[in-house]
Amino acid sequence: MDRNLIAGLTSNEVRSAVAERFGMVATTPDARFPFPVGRAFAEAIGYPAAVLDRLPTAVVASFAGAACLSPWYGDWTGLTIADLGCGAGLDSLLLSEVVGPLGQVVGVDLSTRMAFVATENARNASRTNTTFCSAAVEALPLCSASVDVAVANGVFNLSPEKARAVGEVHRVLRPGGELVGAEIVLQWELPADQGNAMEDWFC
Amino acid sequence: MSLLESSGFIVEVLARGRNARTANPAATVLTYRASLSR
Repeated sequence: MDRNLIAGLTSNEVRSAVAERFGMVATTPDARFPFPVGRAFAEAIGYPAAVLDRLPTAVVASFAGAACLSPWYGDWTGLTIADLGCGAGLDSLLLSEVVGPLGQVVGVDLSTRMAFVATENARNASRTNTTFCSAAVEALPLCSASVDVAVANGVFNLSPEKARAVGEVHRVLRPGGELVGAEIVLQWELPADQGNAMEDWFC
Repeated sequence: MSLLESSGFIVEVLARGRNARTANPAATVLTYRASLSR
């Protein structure tokens, strides 16, 4: 049992807490969270308003990524993309436009409620090349070497088993594949009496 | 990033800087591309 992570919790307990919190983001995005959520935040970190206007309101309202990744999207027409920690599907729906009708996007989120909301959002946006499922990034329900590109917008920083998560991404990517992501990283060690509460895990 | 590199990825840092995602003064947001060799 790895009870040394944070607040004396095991990895599974940390995952449960993360899933619960982001499930709340999916269903009540206007509630208070220890991290920013929604359109104002998405615009503040660089997603253009005109781009957000093209998406269902619910997608943008529950956005809780780490950075604006769209400037770093590549020429990914026709490719298979896994959006890890997809949330309500903001990057997934933008990527569905990038890959086009011959490509596909698979969004994966730890929260079943978030994956359900993302599915509804994709249906409302008529994105037939985009599907969603609920799973931990440490145990992806994807075949080995089946993904051309993985996108991870604030995912590994929430994982209690980061090496296992990175190993899973490596497994599902094809040779020559790439991972584009953004993560919150500490620039220096926190004092021993800081960062030990579950709430700190999100910040 | 070292975890990605030790797992076989070639990592390129695309952007680095604080944003509204975290209020923790010790934290920053790192945007990256990690590639696998063919």
